[in-house]
Amino acid sequence: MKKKKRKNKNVYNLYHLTIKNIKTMFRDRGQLIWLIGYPLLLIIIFSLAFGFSSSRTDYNLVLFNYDIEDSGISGNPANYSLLLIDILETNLSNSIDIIGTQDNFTEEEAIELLEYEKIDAIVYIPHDFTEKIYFGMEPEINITTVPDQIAETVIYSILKQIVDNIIIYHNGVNPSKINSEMELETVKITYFDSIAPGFVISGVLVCISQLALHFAEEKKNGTLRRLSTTPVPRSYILFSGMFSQLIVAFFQTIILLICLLIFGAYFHPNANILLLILIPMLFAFTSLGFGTLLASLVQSEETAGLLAWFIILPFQFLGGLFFYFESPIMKFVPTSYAAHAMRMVMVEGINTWNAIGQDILVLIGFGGISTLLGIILFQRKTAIL
Amino acid sequence: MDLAIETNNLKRYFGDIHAVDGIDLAVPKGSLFGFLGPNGAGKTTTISMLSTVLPPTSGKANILGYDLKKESNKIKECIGVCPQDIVLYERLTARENIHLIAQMHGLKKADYKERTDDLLGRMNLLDRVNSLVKTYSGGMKRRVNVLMAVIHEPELIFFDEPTAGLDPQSRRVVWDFIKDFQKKKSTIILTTHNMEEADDLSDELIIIDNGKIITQGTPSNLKGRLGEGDIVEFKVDEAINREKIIPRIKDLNFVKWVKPIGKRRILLNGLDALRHISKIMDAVKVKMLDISIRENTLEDVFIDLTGRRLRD
Repeated sequence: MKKKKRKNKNVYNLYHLTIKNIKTMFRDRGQLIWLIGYPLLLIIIFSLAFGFSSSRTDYNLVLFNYDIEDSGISGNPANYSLLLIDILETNLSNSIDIIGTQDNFTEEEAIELLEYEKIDAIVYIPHDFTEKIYFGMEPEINITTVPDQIAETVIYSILKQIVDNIIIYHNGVNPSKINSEMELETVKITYFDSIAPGFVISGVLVCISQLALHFAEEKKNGTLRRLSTTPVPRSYILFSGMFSQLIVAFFQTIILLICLLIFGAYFHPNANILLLILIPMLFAFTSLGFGTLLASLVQSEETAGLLAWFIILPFQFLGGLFFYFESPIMKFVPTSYAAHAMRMVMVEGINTWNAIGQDILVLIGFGGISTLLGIILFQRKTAIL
Repeated sequence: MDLAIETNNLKRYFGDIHAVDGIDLAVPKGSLFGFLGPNGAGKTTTISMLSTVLPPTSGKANILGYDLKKESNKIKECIGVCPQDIVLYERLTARENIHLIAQMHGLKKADYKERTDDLLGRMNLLDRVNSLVKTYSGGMKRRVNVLMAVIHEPELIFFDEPTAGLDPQSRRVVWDFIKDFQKKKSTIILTTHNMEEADDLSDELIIIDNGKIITQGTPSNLKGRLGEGDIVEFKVDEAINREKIIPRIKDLNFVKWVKPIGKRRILLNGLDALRHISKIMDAVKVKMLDISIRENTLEDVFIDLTGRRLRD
């Protein structure tokens, strides 16, 4: 047989190795169930634990309104702080419970209540709140909350949206905007909503064990050794493993986002769907870097499966995927950056580079360094198979 | 003479273990060259080095004109390897497994598609060609294992125990297949501890033991060293009794050589001495438990050189 050799042989090899990996992966039902089943199980567990729509029915707060004196503005049609309170007490009574004002508590007493977490927040409306709205300036509201990211996010979101609507109403941009007050009632950022982006990241995180298991299986079965007798470079064998996992992560991300929609997780109307896919893909790249490091070290599937959890578990919990906490250690955990970026886009609806650019750069950095180290180690450790 | 493989003092050590301890080889192009030896003799380690998987500890090797250490990528272009273990992707079909190796060698689909089916047909595998390999029997997997080494028609093919675990009928199919490839001018290295396989297939062979070549030649030459005539093998009742009779047998004129095997067996070349042996045994009151008379084999050559059987 006359052999016709390819010009771009390495790309050709990479393509066929990736196809082979995907075929073997998709023909393993156990692996498929695991890829989707694990994050889906987390979604079900957390949604059962914290409710599908809301883990908190209302937040208690004490409100200090210093915007009650007449501002002396000629023609001022209303006191906007009173309007804000009225909306809170009537339209949002299911979410916000104003248990007191300056008529019932001093600021010191309110702080004490907060310290003992008897209330969730103290809201301060400054004396110039109405004036600033009237003159088209940015009004301020100060909130002090218990150390709970969810409580802070919920109260902040509600107040911000009411004030923004008041501003729109005042400027007469469109009187029908008043109707949007009804929307406010439907936007309830619950604990489940807040951690929902973490489930996608958690699903993609499984890439670490998948890649390590893939190469452990190749080593154990001798197929890696067999491939080493062909002209394909070893780095391409590794890249093919990474590419196939990235493709799987893509489908996994889409399926998990659909699952979250089905389970009623909150997606901000401004959330950019492309970013919701891109961020998990970037994190998959980061995870695969750690996966290559692990793949270089392990010889058996059993070891790969066990050791992977020594990475996955700290990444899940120290990255704040399932509960939020503040710790300097989070700076060293890539999941925290991925989860933050996902929350910003999915829950906050903020898609700007300023908001998520740092997260993206850190993820690329983590992924680049770990992949480079993984390739070097993989080449060395598999030199003698 | 054109050489496919030439090695000089090739060694591979694993710590204190001298798996291959200074092998000098000269394998002519187009030959079917056998490596015969017991398990652990160093056959697979030698193949692993020659097929670029395992770097040698020291020594030199030239494969198809390329230096083993410096030009391993060029060597990989020209070789095919059938490993001792069955190494297949269980969740691919036989066709997909074979195609993968062809693709790794950069062959175009038009070149390998028909050829794959032709090879599968010759190995009687066409009826299961679309089934995943994990559903195959051991023998079927072993045949696919062989085909993956030859799909790209390499100049040099390493078959490491290609028929291990196969039934006699399947073994014969594989042997015929390997012989066919030699006719196509490929050089074939065949490692085996099956003396019949080595004898039947090899143009020339080496016998390896403890990482060293202990003898080399054509099968008929090697067997000829033991002399003409059949081999007599028998077992005595007690080990101590064997020591009593061996010196007496050696004194017989018709006996060319005598070898003790195991604890109670004796091997000798000299069928004419048989009637005298029974007299000797009667004289020293030793019982013969069994006896066989057969043509000499490569195993007898190994026994002659090492005092052990291949499978001991």
